[in-house]
Amino acid sequence: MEHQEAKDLLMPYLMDDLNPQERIAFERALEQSVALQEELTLAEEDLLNALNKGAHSPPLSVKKAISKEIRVNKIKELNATNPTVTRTPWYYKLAAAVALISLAINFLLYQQYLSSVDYAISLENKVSFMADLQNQNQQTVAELSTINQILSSAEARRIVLKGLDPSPDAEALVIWDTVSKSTFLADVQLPEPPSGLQYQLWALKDGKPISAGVFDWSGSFSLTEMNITAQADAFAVSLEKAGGSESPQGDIYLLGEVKSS
Amino acid sequence: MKSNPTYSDISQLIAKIKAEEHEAFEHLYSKYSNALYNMSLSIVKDEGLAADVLQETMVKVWKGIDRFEQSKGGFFTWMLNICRNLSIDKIRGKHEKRSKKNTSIEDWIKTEKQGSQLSFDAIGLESLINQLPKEQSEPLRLNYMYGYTHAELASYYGVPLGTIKTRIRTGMSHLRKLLKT
Repeated sequence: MEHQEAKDLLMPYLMDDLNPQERIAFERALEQSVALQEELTLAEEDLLNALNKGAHSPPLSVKKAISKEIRVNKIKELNATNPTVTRTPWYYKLAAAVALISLAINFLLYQQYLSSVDYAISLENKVSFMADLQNQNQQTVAELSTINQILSSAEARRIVLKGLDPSPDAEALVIWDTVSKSTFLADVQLPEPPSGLQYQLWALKDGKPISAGVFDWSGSFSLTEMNITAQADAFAVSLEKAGGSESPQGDIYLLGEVKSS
Repeated sequence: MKSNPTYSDISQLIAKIKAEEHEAFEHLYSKYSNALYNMSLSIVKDEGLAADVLQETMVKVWKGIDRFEQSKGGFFTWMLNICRNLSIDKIRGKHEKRSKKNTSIEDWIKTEKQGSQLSFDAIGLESLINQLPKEQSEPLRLNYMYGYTHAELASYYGVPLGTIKTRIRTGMSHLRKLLKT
């Protein structure tokens, strides 16, 4: 940058009006030119004098406030970097050491006590969990045993439900014990219902539908116990609003006739 | 005859500030406090705010002295820019409290005129800026004292960006001559 060009940027530099490129170029020129440094110093001094021509002086309290703030900051910094060092008699040190060792031993003993308590609580929780698990297993085994008895009973009827128009490939199996009246739905293959709708099983007797309850679509093989069915000539599945309907309102997806034994 | 500080004088002052010598604080305050206070006063038009700005400026200079690079410019320029930016922040904060909308350039011109007429006569640098032609003094004042960018001013006056830049730079060039007299 030529000297004159740099000189032209002197006031904009002083008044913080340079863009980043101009600033870099000017500062480079300033580093290299003593004459420019002197020009800047003169301009600064002229500006300082112009500003000092004002009739106003800052309140005296400002100087005290600045001095106090600077000192306070310095004290804070000193406290942060150099903690206070004072001479302590040897017996105080010894007493402090004994107290520290005692504290450390107590702390270790307390930790061991806490560990023992934790271990006992942990064991107790595990025993409780195993007992719950055993109860659940016993319950499941009993339920499965009942289901097995029903399924293997000579009175159990297997009704294959076939897909109708909305889903011709759909199918499911109803297992109905004509003695205990228990009804199970198995191997359901139906499309996933739209949100807010649910499939519902119906027992049909003399053409009249009786609800055997709604069931959740799982998309895989499952065995679901439905409501007890007293009498049925056929079973059907329709798509209803969530929670079910009193009588079939939606499309019938599955239908299967109970064959006489 | 003016006593121009040389680069070595400033270096000594900076070294003493870094060493946190009380003498350096006395020198700093006695030499620059009036100028910085008047600079701030010409922007904020409020003695209490100007005093706050002076205090914040001095503390920033003292604590941030390591950030000043003497090879890249003048010490007073650095202090003045800190003071000016803090002053602009103060008045913008004050106006934002009054209104959620950004204060328009027109509002600044009105406020500035009212401030000058009611409480403070143009002093120091401001009186020199007032001697410039209006087409230079007004954008220069809005840019330097109220922090409006060249682009904002070009949009306000409805002139090309280059025109605003030229007016401000020409104003600064004239100001330099006025400062010498």
